Amino acid sequence: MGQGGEPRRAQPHDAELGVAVARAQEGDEVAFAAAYRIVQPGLLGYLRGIVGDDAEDVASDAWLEIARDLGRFRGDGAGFRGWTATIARHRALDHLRRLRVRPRGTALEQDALDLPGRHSTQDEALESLSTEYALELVAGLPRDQAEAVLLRVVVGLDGPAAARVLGKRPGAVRTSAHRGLKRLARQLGVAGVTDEESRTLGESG
Amino acid sequence: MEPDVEPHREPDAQPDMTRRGADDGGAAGPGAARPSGLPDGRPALETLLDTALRGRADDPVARTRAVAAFRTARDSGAHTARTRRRDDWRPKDRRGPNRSLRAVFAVLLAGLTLGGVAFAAVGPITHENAGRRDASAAPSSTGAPDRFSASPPPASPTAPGATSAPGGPSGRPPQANDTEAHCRAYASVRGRGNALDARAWQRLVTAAGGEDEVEAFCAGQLAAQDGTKGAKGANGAAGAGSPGKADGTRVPGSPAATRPGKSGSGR
Repeated sequence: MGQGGEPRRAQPHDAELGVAVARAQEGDEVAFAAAYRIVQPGLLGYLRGIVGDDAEDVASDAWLEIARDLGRFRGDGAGFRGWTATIARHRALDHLRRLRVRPRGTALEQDALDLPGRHSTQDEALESLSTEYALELVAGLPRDQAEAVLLRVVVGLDGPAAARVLGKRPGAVRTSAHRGLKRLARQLGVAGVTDEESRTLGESG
Repeated sequence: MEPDVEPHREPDAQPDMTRRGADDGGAAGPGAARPSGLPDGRPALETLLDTALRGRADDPVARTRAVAAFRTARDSGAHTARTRRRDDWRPKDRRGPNRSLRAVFAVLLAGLTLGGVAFAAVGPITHENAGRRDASAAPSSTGAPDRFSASPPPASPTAPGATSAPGGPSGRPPQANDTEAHCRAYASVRGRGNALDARAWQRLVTAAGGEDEVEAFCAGQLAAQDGTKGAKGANGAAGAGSPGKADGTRVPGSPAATRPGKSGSGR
Protein backbone atom coordinates (compact mmCIF):
# COMPACT_ATOMS: atom_id res chain seq x y z
CA MET A 1 0.00 0.00 0.00
CA GLY A 2 1.00 3.56 -0.35
CA GLN A 3 1.03 4.35 3.31
CA GLY A 4 4.22 5.73 4.71
CA GLY A 5 4.45 3.55 7.74
CA GLU A 6 2.88 1.01 9.98
CA PRO A 7 -0.02 2.38 11.93
CA ARG A 8 1.17 3.53 15.27
CA ARG A 9 -2.13 4.23 16.76
CA ALA A 10 -5.30 2.40 16.03
CA GLN A 11 -7.74 5.21 15.58
CA PRO A 12 -6.16 7.21 12.76
CA HIS A 13 -6.30 4.19 10.48
CA ASP A 14 -9.77 3.06 11.32
CA ALA A 15 -11.37 4.93 8.46
CA GLU A 16 -8.92 3.44 6.01
CA LEU A 17 -9.41 0.05 7.57
CA GLY A 18 -13.17 0.35 7.31
CA VAL A 19 -12.93 1.11 3.61
CA ALA A 20 -10.54 -1.77 3.05
CA VAL A 21 -12.82 -4.19 4.87
CA ALA A 22 -15.85 -3.05 2.94
CA ARG A 23 -14.05 -3.52 -0.33
CA ALA A 24 -12.70 -6.87 0.75
CA GLN A 25 -16.23 -7.96 1.54
CA GLU A 26 -17.08 -7.20 -2.03
CA GLY A 27 -14.32 -9.55 -3.12
CA ASP A 28 -11.30 -7.28 -3.45
CA GLU A 29 -8.30 -9.26 -2.32
CA VAL A 30 -5.96 -6.30 -2.48
CA ALA A 31 -8.19 -4.57 0.01
CA PHE A 32 -8.09 -7.65 2.17
CA ALA A 33 -4.30 -7.57 2.13
CA ALA A 34 -4.46 -3.93 3.15
CA ALA A 35 -6.73 -4.74 6.05
CA TYR A 36 -4.38 -7.51 7.04
CA ARG A 37 -1.47 -5.12 7.08
CA ILE A 38 -3.29 -2.66 9.29
CA VAL A 39 -4.64 -5.17 11.76
CA GLN A 40 -1.93 -7.79 11.99
CA PRO A 41 0.66 -5.85 14.08
CA GLY A 42 -1.73 -5.21 16.93
CA LEU A 43 -3.10 -8.71 16.73
CA LEU A 44 0.37 -10.19 16.91
CA GLY A 45 1.26 -8.05 19.90
CA TYR A 46 -1.86 -9.18 21.69
CA LEU A 47 -1.28 -12.83 20.86
CA ARG A 48 2.31 -12.67 22.02
CA GLY A 49 1.02 -11.64 25.39
CA ILE A 50 -1.17 -14.74 25.56
CA VAL A 51 0.72 -17.49 23.76
CA GLY A 52 4.25 -16.09 23.61
CA ASP A 53 6.34 -17.47 20.80
CA ASP A 54 3.41 -19.26 19.21
CA ALA A 55 1.79 -15.95 18.36
CA GLU A 56 2.63 -16.17 14.67
CA ASP A 57 1.12 -19.61 14.32
CA VAL A 58 -2.00 -18.67 16.20
CA ALA A 59 -2.35 -15.48 14.20
CA SER A 60 -2.07 -17.49 11.03
CA ASP A 61 -4.90 -19.74 12.17
CA ALA A 62 -6.93 -16.73 13.16
CA TRP A 63 -6.49 -15.19 9.75
CA LEU A 64 -7.74 -18.32 8.06
CA GLU A 65 -10.92 -17.96 10.03
CA ILE A 66 -11.09 -14.22 9.44
CA ALA A 67 -10.70 -14.76 5.72
CA ARG A 68 -13.37 -17.42 5.73
CA ASP A 69 -15.92 -15.51 7.80
CA LEU A 70 -15.28 -12.06 6.44
CA GLY A 71 -18.66 -12.02 4.75
CA ARG A 72 -20.37 -12.36 8.09
CA PHE A 73 -18.75 -9.34 9.62
CA ARG A 74 -20.73 -6.13 10.03
CA GLY A 75 -19.14 -2.96 11.24
CA ASP A 76 -16.51 -0.31 10.63
CA GLY A 77 -12.75 -0.26 11.03
CA ALA A 78 -12.82 -0.14 14.81
CA GLY A 79 -15.36 -2.92 14.81
CA PHE A 80 -13.12 -5.01 12.59
CA ARG A 81 -10.34 -4.72 15.16
CA GLY A 82 -12.65 -6.02 17.81
CA TRP A 83 -14.01 -8.79 15.65
CA THR A 84 -10.58 -10.00 14.61
CA ALA A 85 -9.29 -9.77 18.17
CA THR A 86 -12.16 -11.97 19.32
CA ILE A 87 -11.33 -14.57 16.71
CA ALA A 88 -7.64 -14.40 17.56
CA ARG A 89 -8.41 -14.80 21.23
CA HIS A 90 -10.51 -17.89 20.64
CA ARG A 91 -7.76 -19.42 18.55
CA ALA A 92 -5.24 -18.57 21.25
CA LEU A 93 -7.35 -20.19 23.96
CA ASP A 94 -7.83 -23.24 21.76
CA HIS A 95 -4.11 -23.37 21.28
CA LEU A 96 -3.46 -23.20 24.99
CA ARG A 97 -5.98 -25.91 25.64
CA ARG A 98 -4.37 -28.10 23.05
CA LEU A 99 -0.98 -27.64 24.56
CA ARG A 100 -2.35 -27.99 28.03
CA VAL A 101 -0.26 -25.03 28.90
CA ARG A 102 -1.50 -22.61 31.40
CA PRO A 103 -2.32 -19.20 29.99
CA ARG A 104 0.87 -17.67 31.26
CA GLY A 105 3.72 -19.97 30.45
CA THR A 106 5.98 -20.89 33.27
CA ALA A 107 9.03 -19.75 31.39
CA LEU A 108 7.72 -16.26 31.08
CA GLU A 109 6.60 -16.31 34.64
CA GLN A 110 10.00 -17.36 35.82
CA ASP A 111 11.67 -14.67 33.80
CA ALA A 112 9.37 -12.10 35.21
CA LEU A 113 10.44 -13.05 38.68
CA ASP A 114 14.05 -12.51 37.79
CA LEU A 115 13.50 -9.06 36.44
CA PRO A 116 15.16 -6.12 38.02
CA GLY A 117 12.72 -4.03 39.90
CA ARG A 118 12.82 -1.08 37.59
CA HIS A 119 14.93 0.69 35.15
CA SER A 120 17.37 3.14 36.57
CA THR A 121 15.95 6.19 34.94
CA GLN A 122 12.92 7.06 32.96
CA ASP A 123 15.00 7.99 29.97
CA GLU A 124 16.62 4.64 29.92
CA ALA A 125 13.25 2.98 30.13
CA LEU A 126 11.90 5.07 27.34
CA GLU A 127 14.77 4.33 25.11
CA SER A 128 15.40 0.72 25.73
CA LEU A 129 12.17 -1.04 26.46
CA SER A 130 12.70 -4.05 24.30
CA THR A 131 9.98 -6.31 23.05
CA GLU A 132 11.26 -9.11 25.22
CA TYR A 133 11.35 -7.03 28.33
CA ALA A 134 7.93 -5.57 27.68
CA LEU A 135 6.57 -9.06 27.14
CA GLU A 136 8.10 -10.22 30.36
CA LEU A 137 6.55 -7.37 32.21
CA VAL A 138 3.15 -8.01 30.71
CA ALA A 139 3.47 -11.72 31.34
CA GLY A 140 4.08 -10.91 34.97
CA LEU A 141 0.64 -9.38 35.24
CA PRO A 142 -2.42 -11.34 36.19
CA ARG A 143 -4.06 -12.70 33.09
CA ASP A 144 -7.04 -10.38 33.05
CA GLN A 145 -4.86 -7.32 33.48
CA ALA A 146 -2.45 -8.42 30.79
CA GLU A 147 -5.22 -9.01 28.30
CA ALA A 148 -6.97 -5.76 29.11
CA VAL A 149 -3.76 -3.78 28.72
CA LEU A 150 -2.88 -5.45 25.45
CA LEU A 151 -6.31 -5.00 23.93
CA ARG A 152 -6.46 -1.36 24.93
CA VAL A 153 -2.91 -0.34 24.18
CA VAL A 154 -1.66 -2.61 21.43
CA VAL A 155 -4.78 -3.62 19.56
CA GLY A 156 -6.20 -0.16 20.08
CA LEU A 157 -9.69 -1.08 21.23
CA ASP A 158 -11.83 1.21 23.30
CA GLY A 159 -13.23 0.08 26.61
CA PRO A 160 -16.53 -1.41 25.45
CA ALA A 161 -14.90 -3.22 22.55
CA ALA A 162 -12.20 -4.69 24.77
CA ALA A 163 -14.88 -5.78 27.19
CA ARG A 164 -16.80 -7.49 24.41
CA VAL A 165 -13.71 -9.33 23.27
CA LEU A 166 -13.08 -10.55 26.80
CA GLY A 167 -16.72 -11.25 27.51
CA LYS A 168 -16.71 -9.05 30.57
CA ARG A 169 -18.33 -5.87 31.74
CA PRO A 170 -16.67 -2.67 30.56
CA GLY A 171 -16.15 -1.52 34.11
CA ALA A 172 -14.27 -4.66 35.04
CA VAL A 173 -12.05 -4.38 31.99
CA ARG A 174 -11.35 -0.72 32.64
CA THR A 175 -10.30 -1.58 36.16
CA SER A 176 -8.09 -4.41 34.95
CA ALA A 177 -6.38 -2.22 32.38
CA HIS A 178 -5.86 0.54 34.88
CA ARG A 179 -4.34 -1.76 37.47
CA GLY A 180 -2.15 -3.45 34.93
CA LEU A 181 -0.82 -0.21 33.57
CA LYS A 182 -0.23 1.13 37.04
CA ARG A 183 1.75 -1.91 37.96
CA LEU A 184 3.79 -1.74 34.79
CA ALA A 185 4.45 1.93 35.35
CA ARG A 186 5.69 1.16 38.83
CA GLN A 187 8.00 -1.54 37.54
CA LEU A 188 9.34 0.71 34.84
CA GLY A 189 9.53 3.83 36.90
CA VAL A 190 7.59 5.58 34.20
CA ALA A 191 5.23 8.32 35.14
CA GLY A 192 2.67 7.39 32.54
CA VAL A 193 -0.54 6.09 33.95
CA THR A 194 -3.94 6.04 32.45
CA ASP A 195 -5.63 8.54 34.70
CA GLU A 196 -7.15 11.30 32.71
CA GLU A 197 -5.58 13.94 34.94
CA SER A 198 -2.11 12.62 34.50
CA ARG A 199 -2.64 12.34 30.80
CA THR A 200 -3.45 16.01 30.57
CA LEU A 201 -0.56 16.89 32.79
CA GLY A 202 1.85 14.82 30.79
CA GLU A 203 0.63 16.39 27.63
CA SER A 204 0.96 19.93 28.82
CA GLY A 205 4.46 19.32 30.19
CA MET B 1 -0.24 -15.11 -8.04
CA GLU B 2 -0.29 -12.12 -5.87
CA PRO B 3 0.66 -9.15 -7.96
CA ASP B 4 -0.45 -6.42 -5.64
CA VAL B 5 1.16 -7.71 -2.56
CA GLU B 6 4.38 -8.74 -4.16
CA PRO B 7 6.17 -5.40 -4.27
CA HIS B 8 6.32 -5.26 -0.54
CA ARG B 9 8.61 -8.15 -0.12
CA GLU B 10 10.77 -7.95 -3.19
CA PRO B 11 13.10 -5.15 -2.04
CA ASP B 12 14.25 -7.47 0.70
CA ALA B 13 12.23 -5.98 3.49
CA GLN B 14 13.69 -2.60 2.91
CA PRO B 15 10.41 -0.73 3.29
CA ASP B 16 9.82 -2.54 6.49
CA MET B 17 13.14 -1.46 7.86
CA THR B 18 12.34 2.15 7.20
CA ARG B 19 8.97 1.65 8.74
CA ARG B 20 10.45 0.22 11.83
CA GLY B 21 12.98 2.97 11.97
CA ALA B 22 10.28 5.51 11.98
CA ASP B 23 7.63 3.82 14.01
CA ASP B 24 8.80 0.76 15.85
CA GLY B 25 11.98 2.21 17.11
CA GLY B 26 11.68 0.82 20.56
CA ALA B 27 11.68 -2.68 19.25
CA ALA B 28 14.34 -2.07 16.67
CA GLY B 29 16.90 -0.85 19.14
CA PRO B 30 17.96 2.03 21.30
CA GLY B 31 19.35 3.97 18.40
CA ALA B 32 16.03 4.23 16.69
CA ALA B 33 14.02 4.97 19.78
CA ARG B 34 11.38 7.58 19.67
CA PRO B 35 11.98 10.66 21.64
CA SER B 36 9.89 10.96 24.74
CA GLY B 37 7.93 13.80 23.30
CA LEU B 38 4.90 11.58 22.74
CA PRO B 39 3.39 13.50 19.89
CA ASP B 40 0.25 11.44 19.93
CA GLY B 41 -0.56 12.61 23.41
CA ARG B 42 -0.63 9.20 25.00
CA PRO B 43 0.93 8.47 28.31
CA ALA B 44 4.54 7.43 28.02
CA LEU B 45 3.87 3.95 29.25
CA GLU B 46 1.22 3.13 26.69
CA THR B 47 3.39 4.42 23.92
CA LEU B 48 6.25 2.35 25.17
CA LEU B 49 4.22 -0.79 25.39
CA ASP B 50 2.61 -0.30 22.04
CA THR B 51 5.94 0.35 20.44
CA ALA B 52 7.57 -2.62 22.04
CA LEU B 53 4.80 -5.15 21.69
CA ARG B 54 3.30 -4.29 18.35
CA GLY B 55 4.13 -6.99 15.90
CA ARG B 56 4.91 -6.70 12.26
CA ALA B 57 2.84 -7.56 9.25
CA ASP B 58 5.78 -8.13 6.98
CA ASP B 59 5.94 -11.90 6.96
CA PRO B 60 5.15 -12.62 3.31
CA VAL B 61 4.34 -16.26 3.93
CA ALA B 62 1.75 -15.45 6.55
CA ARG B 63 0.23 -12.73 4.45
CA THR B 64 0.11 -14.87 1.35
CA ARG B 65 -1.58 -17.59 3.31
CA ALA B 66 -4.20 -15.21 4.61
CA VAL B 67 -4.91 -13.77 1.19
CA ALA B 68 -5.09 -17.25 -0.32
CA ALA B 69 -7.61 -18.24 2.32
CA PHE B 70 -9.58 -15.12 1.51
CA ARG B 71 -9.60 -16.00 -2.17
CA THR B 72 -10.71 -19.55 -1.51
CA ALA B 73 -13.52 -18.42 0.73
CA ARG B 74 -14.63 -15.78 -1.73
CA ASP B 75 -14.64 -18.18 -4.66
CA SER B 76 -16.46 -20.87 -2.76
CA GLY B 77 -19.20 -18.49 -1.78
CA ALA B 78 -18.41 -18.59 1.91
CA HIS B 79 -18.65 -14.82 2.07
CA THR B 80 -22.36 -14.92 1.64
CA ALA B 81 -22.74 -16.58 5.02
CA ARG B 82 -25.21 -15.13 7.43
CA THR B 83 -24.11 -12.62 10.04
CA ARG B 84 -24.24 -14.05 13.50
CA ARG B 85 -24.68 -11.98 16.59
CA ARG B 86 -20.99 -12.12 17.37
CA ASP B 87 -20.16 -10.83 13.91
CA ASP B 88 -22.13 -7.65 14.35
CA TRP B 89 -19.74 -4.98 15.56
CA ARG B 90 -21.69 -2.01 14.36
CA PRO B 91 -21.72 0.81 16.87
CA LYS B 92 -24.34 0.47 19.54
CA ASP B 93 -26.24 3.61 18.65
CA ARG B 94 -26.87 2.34 15.16
CA ARG B 95 -28.26 -1.01 16.09
CA GLY B 96 -29.56 -0.05 19.51
CA PRO B 97 -32.94 1.33 18.47
CA ASN B 98 -33.70 -1.67 16.37
CA ARG B 99 -32.93 -4.03 19.15
CA SER B 100 -34.90 -2.17 21.77
CA LEU B 101 -37.78 -1.84 19.36
CA ARG B 102 -37.69 -5.53 18.75
CA ALA B 103 -37.63 -6.12 22.47
CA VAL B 104 -40.66 -3.91 22.98
CA PHE B 105 -42.57 -5.76 20.31
CA ALA B 106 -41.60 -9.07 21.76
CA VAL B 107 -42.85 -8.04 25.18
CA LEU B 108 -46.08 -6.71 23.74
CA LEU B 109 -46.66 -9.86 21.77
CA ALA B 110 -45.96 -12.04 24.76
CA GLY B 111 -48.36 -9.98 26.84
CA LEU B 112 -51.08 -10.27 24.28
CA THR B 113 -50.58 -13.97 23.96
CA LEU B 114 -50.66 -14.58 27.67
CA GLY B 115 -53.61 -12.28 28.07
CA GLY B 116 -55.44 -14.12 25.35
CA VAL B 117 -54.80 -17.45 26.96
CA ALA B 118 -55.90 -16.14 30.31
CA PHE B 119 -59.06 -14.70 28.81
CA ALA B 120 -59.82 -17.85 26.92
CA ALA B 121 -59.38 -19.89 30.07
CA VAL B 122 -61.21 -17.66 32.54
CA GLY B 123 -63.54 -15.45 30.56
CA PRO B 124 -66.23 -17.83 29.41
CA ILE B 125 -66.39 -19.56 32.75
CA THR B 126 -67.03 -16.50 34.86
CA HIS B 127 -69.54 -15.55 32.27
CA GLU B 128 -71.32 -18.80 32.61
CA ASN B 129 -71.23 -18.61 36.36
CA ALA B 130 -72.56 -15.10 36.41
CA GLY B 131 -75.43 -16.11 34.25
CA ARG B 132 -75.94 -19.30 36.08
CA ARG B 133 -76.35 -17.84 39.51
CA ASP B 134 -79.74 -16.41 38.85
CA ALA B 135 -80.71 -18.98 36.32
CA SER B 136 -80.14 -21.85 38.71
CA ALA B 137 -82.40 -20.36 41.29
CA ALA B 138 -85.45 -21.49 39.38
CA PRO B 139 -84.72 -25.10 38.52
CA SER B 140 -82.87 -26.15 41.62
CA SER B 141 -84.31 -25.78 45.05
CA THR B 142 -81.01 -26.29 46.81
CA GLY B 143 -79.56 -22.96 45.80
CA ALA B 144 -75.98 -22.09 45.22
CA PRO B 145 -74.30 -25.20 46.60
CA ASP B 146 -75.86 -27.24 43.89
CA ARG B 147 -73.13 -26.16 41.63
CA PHE B 148 -70.83 -28.30 43.64
CA SER B 149 -73.16 -30.96 44.84
CA ALA B 150 -75.17 -31.41 41.71
CA SER B 151 -75.04 -34.91 40.44
CA PRO B 152 -72.44 -35.22 37.76
CA PRO B 153 -73.69 -35.82 34.27
CA PRO B 154 -74.17 -39.41 33.38
CA ALA B 155 -71.05 -41.35 32.88
CA SER B 156 -72.17 -42.39 29.46
CA PRO B 157 -71.49 -39.27 27.49
CA THR B 158 -72.84 -40.67 24.30
CA ALA B 159 -76.41 -40.39 25.43
CA PRO B 160 -77.65 -36.95 24.54
CA GLY B 161 -80.99 -37.53 26.05
CA ALA B 162 -79.58 -38.27 29.43
CA THR B 163 -77.53 -35.11 29.41
CA SER B 164 -80.48 -32.87 29.23
CA ALA B 165 -82.62 -34.98 31.49
CA PRO B 166 -81.73 -33.49 34.88
CA GLY B 167 -82.75 -30.03 33.87
CA GLY B 168 -85.97 -31.11 32.46
CA PRO B 169 -87.87 -29.17 29.91
CA SER B 170 -88.19 -26.09 32.07
CA GLY B 171 -84.58 -25.05 31.87
CA ARG B 172 -81.22 -25.92 30.64
CA PRO B 173 -79.42 -28.76 32.33
CA PRO B 174 -77.84 -27.47 35.52
CA GLN B 175 -74.39 -28.54 34.67
CA ALA B 176 -74.33 -29.41 31.05
CA ASN B 177 -73.64 -25.90 29.86
CA ASP B 178 -70.89 -25.29 32.35
CA THR B 179 -69.40 -28.59 31.50
CA GLU B 180 -69.63 -27.87 27.85
CA ALA B 181 -67.96 -24.49 28.24
CA HIS B 182 -65.30 -26.06 30.39
CA CYS B 183 -64.74 -28.70 27.82
CA ARG B 184 -64.39 -26.19 25.04
CA ALA B 185 -61.98 -24.10 27.06
CA TYR B 186 -60.17 -27.25 28.01
CA ALA B 187 -59.75 -28.09 24.37
CA SER B 188 -58.37 -24.64 23.66
CA VAL B 189 -55.76 -24.55 26.41
CA ARG B 190 -54.92 -28.21 26.52
CA GLY B 191 -51.29 -28.81 27.27
CA ARG B 192 -50.53 -25.19 28.01
CA GLY B 193 -50.18 -23.24 31.20
CA ASN B 194 -51.68 -23.87 34.59
CA ALA B 195 -55.24 -23.22 33.70
CA LEU B 196 -56.16 -26.74 34.71
CA ASP B 197 -55.29 -25.90 38.29
CA ALA B 198 -58.16 -23.50 38.54
CA ARG B 199 -61.17 -24.37 40.56
CA ALA B 200 -63.36 -24.59 37.51
CA TRP B 201 -61.15 -27.28 36.14
CA GLN B 202 -61.24 -29.14 39.36
CA ARG B 203 -64.94 -29.20 38.96
CA LEU B 204 -64.61 -30.42 35.44
CA VAL B 205 -62.30 -33.15 36.62
CA THR B 206 -64.75 -34.11 39.31
CA ALA B 207 -67.56 -34.18 36.80
CA ALA B 208 -65.55 -36.34 34.48
CA GLY B 209 -64.58 -38.66 37.27
CA GLY B 210 -60.85 -38.17 37.18
CA GLU B 211 -58.22 -36.21 35.40
CA ASP B 212 -57.55 -38.96 32.93
CA GLU B 213 -61.18 -39.13 32.01
CA VAL B 214 -61.53 -35.49 31.09
CA GLU B 215 -60.60 -35.87 27.52
CA ALA B 216 -62.95 -38.70 26.75
CA PHE B 217 -65.62 -37.08 28.84
CA CYS B 218 -65.33 -33.81 27.02
CA ALA B 219 -65.29 -35.43 23.65
CA GLY B 220 -68.55 -37.09 24.46
CA GLN B 221 -70.02 -33.93 25.96
CA LEU B 222 -69.21 -31.80 23.00
CA ALA B 223 -70.46 -34.34 20.56
CA ALA B 224 -73.65 -34.61 22.51
CA GLN B 225 -74.12 -30.86 22.70
CA ASP B 226 -73.51 -30.42 19.05
CA GLY B 227 -76.01 -33.13 18.42
CA THR B 228 -78.72 -31.58 20.53
CA LYS B 229 -78.06 -28.19 19.11
CA GLY B 230 -78.51 -29.53 15.65
CA ALA B 231 -81.64 -31.25 16.69
CA LYS B 232 -83.05 -28.18 18.34
CA GLY B 233 -82.15 -26.04 15.42
CA ALA B 234 -84.08 -28.42 13.24
CA ASN B 235 -87.30 -28.23 15.23
CA GLY B 236 -86.51 -24.97 16.93
CA ALA B 237 -90.00 -23.64 16.43
CA ALA B 238 -91.24 -25.83 19.23
CA GLY B 239 -88.87 -24.35 21.75
CA ALA B 240 -87.61 -20.88 22.23
CA GLY B 241 -87.35 -18.50 19.38
CA SER B 242 -83.65 -17.98 19.51
CA PRO B 243 -81.80 -20.68 17.67
CA GLY B 244 -78.63 -20.14 19.64
CA LYS B 245 -75.40 -18.36 19.35
CA ALA B 246 -73.16 -18.86 16.47
CA ASP B 247 -70.19 -19.93 18.53
CA GLY B 248 -72.19 -22.59 20.20
CA THR B 249 -70.83 -22.02 23.67
CA ARG B 250 -74.29 -21.90 25.03
CA VAL B 251 -77.30 -24.01 24.46
CA PRO B 252 -80.15 -22.14 22.90
CA GLY B 253 -83.47 -22.17 24.47
CA SER B 254 -85.14 -21.20 27.65
CA PRO B 255 -82.09 -20.35 29.76
CA ALA B 256 -81.48 -17.41 27.50
CA ALA B 257 -85.00 -16.36 28.05
CA THR B 258 -84.74 -16.51 31.81
CA ARG B 259 -81.79 -14.14 31.95
CA PRO B 260 -81.94 -11.84 29.04
CA GLY B 261 -80.74 -8.75 30.89
CA LYS B 262 -78.01 -10.44 32.77
CA SER B 263 -76.35 -12.04 29.84
CA GLY B 264 -76.55 -8.79 27.97
CA SER B 265 -74.95 -6.71 30.69
CA GLY B 266 -72.43 -9.30 31.58
CA ARG B 267 -70.60 -8.97 28.37
